[in-house]
Amino acid sequence: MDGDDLHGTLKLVSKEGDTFEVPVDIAKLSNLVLTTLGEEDDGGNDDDDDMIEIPLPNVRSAVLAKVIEYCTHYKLVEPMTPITTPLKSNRIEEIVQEWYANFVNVDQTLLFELVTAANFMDIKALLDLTCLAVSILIKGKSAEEIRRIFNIKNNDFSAEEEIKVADDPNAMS
Amino acid sequence: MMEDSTICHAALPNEIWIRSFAYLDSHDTAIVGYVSTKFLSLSSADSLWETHCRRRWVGKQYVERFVCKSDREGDGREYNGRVEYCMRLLSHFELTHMPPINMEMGVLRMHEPISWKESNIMAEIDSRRILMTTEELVHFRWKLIYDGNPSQLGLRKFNENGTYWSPYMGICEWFLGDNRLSFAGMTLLVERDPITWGWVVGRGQRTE
Repeated sequence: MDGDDLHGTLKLVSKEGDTFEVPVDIAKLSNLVLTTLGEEDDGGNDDDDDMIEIPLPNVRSAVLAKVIEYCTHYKLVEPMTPITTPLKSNRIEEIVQEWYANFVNVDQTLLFELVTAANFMDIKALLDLTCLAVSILIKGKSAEEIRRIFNIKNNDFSAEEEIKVADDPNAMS
Repeated sequence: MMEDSTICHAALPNEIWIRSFAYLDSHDTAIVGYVSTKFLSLSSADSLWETHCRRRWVGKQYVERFVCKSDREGDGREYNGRVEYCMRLLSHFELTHMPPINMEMGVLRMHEPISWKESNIMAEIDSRRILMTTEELVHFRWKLIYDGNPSQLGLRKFNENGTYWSPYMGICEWFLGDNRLSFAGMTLLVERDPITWGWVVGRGQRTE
């Protein structure tokens, strides 16, 4: 009964209402999908004609396409090498394989959308990679540079607190 | 355009920032704390600093540690002992080549349980200390090495009451001052091993 489902396909529906047909095995990298499938089973829905549809109301089509591309590569080509901390390099291509490094070589808005989607769909491997990409943006930068990168306003920090930078032994190590 | 980016920054859930910070070393994590009050709070997460602290102490088992609240047991008496120890160390600062310390940095708020970040800061401070305390000298057992050969008598100790037993001279007094240890007619310079942070007294003599 379950066997057909495991090797079949399901539909992921984006914010815009676009439908993506994805093999179940690949979609199951997402814990959200996994949980939803579990619930469907419990419901005892025996209607074979209806392919399972999972709505993802806060994931844009462009982002969902990237997420599916990631899961497909991960599942069918090669899994991503586990990321070891502390990072040995500032260069993402020296930490994960080239394909994965290129995958997150995107503008910051798309990167943030990918992290958010990975978080919402609960895809650990994608979350690892996108968070790594965010941390690479920060690594080795000064506080001022980090503010500029993420466009964070400075004025919620008083000048007095700024002085501590010079006094913090961590900051000087 | 600027507003868009601001929304972007605010849009990432807190746990995503913390997860991203987890890839950084302690230096970069400390820098993140100066970006904004939100980043200060997120980058101070115990989960981040516990990792840094534990990594920092690898191979340094002979150094007094600054433990976090979750490491202590029982009624906290042990923890209070640590606080007193930290206070004593801090009182030595002006005698060492330390950078100026802002006492509001959290160091003096140690009446309350310290966070892992504070624990790491104190470890950082202590790693720069070049002055050995009397407490440490008494606390440790010392391996004496004569002309490159370890002493046959095993590990030795310097008693709290200021005495030391020498096989040649019997009970004699020891004195620690100006980072020099005098005992049994010798005066030896105290140095710190930059890698293990262990103390080395005189050339070829070190704590083990």
